[in-house]
Amino acid sequence: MSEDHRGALDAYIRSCSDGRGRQWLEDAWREATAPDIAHERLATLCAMAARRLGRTPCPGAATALATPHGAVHLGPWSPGDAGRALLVLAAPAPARPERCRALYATGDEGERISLVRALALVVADAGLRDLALEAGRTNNLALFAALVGHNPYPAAVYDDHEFNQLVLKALFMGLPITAVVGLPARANAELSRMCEDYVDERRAAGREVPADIWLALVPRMSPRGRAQVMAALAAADPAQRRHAATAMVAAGAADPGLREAVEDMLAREDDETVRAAVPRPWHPPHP
Amino acid sequence: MQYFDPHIHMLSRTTDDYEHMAAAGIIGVVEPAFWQGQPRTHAGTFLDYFDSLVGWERFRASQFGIHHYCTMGINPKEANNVPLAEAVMEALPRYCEKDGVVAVGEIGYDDMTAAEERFFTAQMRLAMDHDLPVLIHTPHRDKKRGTERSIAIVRESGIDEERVIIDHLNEQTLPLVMETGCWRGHSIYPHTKMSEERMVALLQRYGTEKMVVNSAADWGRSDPLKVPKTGRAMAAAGFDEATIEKVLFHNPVDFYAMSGRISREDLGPISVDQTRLWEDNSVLRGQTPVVP
Ligand SMILES: [Zn+2]
Repeated sequence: MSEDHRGALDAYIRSCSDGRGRQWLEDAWREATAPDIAHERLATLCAMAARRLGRTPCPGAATALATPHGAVHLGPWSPGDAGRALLVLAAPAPARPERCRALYATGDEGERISLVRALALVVADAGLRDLALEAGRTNNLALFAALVGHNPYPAAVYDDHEFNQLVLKALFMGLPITAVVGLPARANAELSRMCEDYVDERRAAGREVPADIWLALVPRMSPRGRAQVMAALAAADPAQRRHAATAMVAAGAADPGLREAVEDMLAREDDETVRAAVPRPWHPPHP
Repeated sequence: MQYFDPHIHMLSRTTDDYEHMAAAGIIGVVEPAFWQGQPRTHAGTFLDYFDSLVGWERFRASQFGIHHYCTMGINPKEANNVPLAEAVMEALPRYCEKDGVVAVGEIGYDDMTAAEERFFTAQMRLAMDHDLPVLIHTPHRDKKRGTERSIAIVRESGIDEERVIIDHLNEQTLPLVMETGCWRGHSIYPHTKMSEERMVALLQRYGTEKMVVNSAADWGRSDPLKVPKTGRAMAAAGFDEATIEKVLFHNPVDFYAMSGRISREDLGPISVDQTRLWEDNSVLRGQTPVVP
């Protein structure tokens, strides 16, 4: 797998770096593949990478790379992110987890984000589960977003408890769980229970519930959760209605009552964006 | 009017401070590495502190729309713990390459000991090796002598004087620095040291070239709004807006821009990218985010 990723990352960087950036990358690659490179030197290259290669995503160069954990989309990646992934991939496969951990330990916010984005690319197994869990303990929104959003690694290696905590923390931080890879495949009754408690807690405090919580709550919900999501269909916030209805449609095959409720709601819905966003697979498409 | 505070220790400040600073027009800060009121006893404590400066504190500032940069170094007080300082020196090169690091500092003298001089000199070399400007702290006690000796160290190091700022100046020490190519830093404190009115008098007398003003706010009695307050004092004394902006925004940014890691253009509104669109996290504790 690694040969392909190296080529793709290299091509991605070349597509939007200038000549000096490309030269830097060549030199850094040569150093990083040397078996005796000192950690201090590697850490210095890692720190420099975004400055030398660029810190904003290349427009129009987005690709998806297939990994054993799922696809990694380069859309949000900067050339600096790709360069840092290459610094890890420059080591022989058995040495990569240790190199990744060491760079993470000495990395700043930007470096840690790059390394977390690259987790699924640099190991084919659960060898960096410990690092993924450590990253998940951060309160840094940008770093947590890199772990939880568009990243297949957590869902591939976390157990249910760990995955549930990740989803709930994303909801707490206000991050969109639509970007969590593995939902709804990893949905489970305990996650629904946690979300149901969270809905009760927020409502008791007179506060809004995150609009997309229904995507995690509905798949294995209890009767309590069913009542909660039914109520959300009548919420004032269109985003609540849209996510509640979307989640109910997905669960509707096993519970026809949910589909009926969505039909009723859509018949009364006057927000065009909500009507357009809710899929109704049992209906023929509109002409 | 927008302001830049080129010397402030935000790790010791609250989110209320960040809110008031943003409301007063401060759009960027530099947080120099310094001591924290009591001596550290492990090299690892320094490293965790440095990691905060390039990590959590940067993020915290960004939540209030404030750009956060820092300087790296061993402060003169803790340079006196030689084994500790030696261990920290070993780690400093890697920190000098971090994106948010725009200078080596605060370095210089406290009690003017041999150990302080050793690490002062070594860190001048560190800055030159990493192409970074230098922030020099001048001592509270025996200040005039300390400033003279600091200038001597700068000259011996061979660094371009244009790449050095000498900080915490007053009526007595500014004239010494005026005779060099170094930039001139002034810390405005409540109750002690320099006040806004005295700062205005220095600007009237010595002009605005390479003149820089900061709050140096930290864990002691200090005021994170001293830069905008100096702006008001300058306006009251008849300085025009362009001159106020030069001293309280362009000068400090241009000094640190010699690092190549900050520029006037970098200080636009903090981009609301995808990860920051849904701000309701632990720092803000459910309040309406300051950043739209
Ligand atoms: Zn200071």
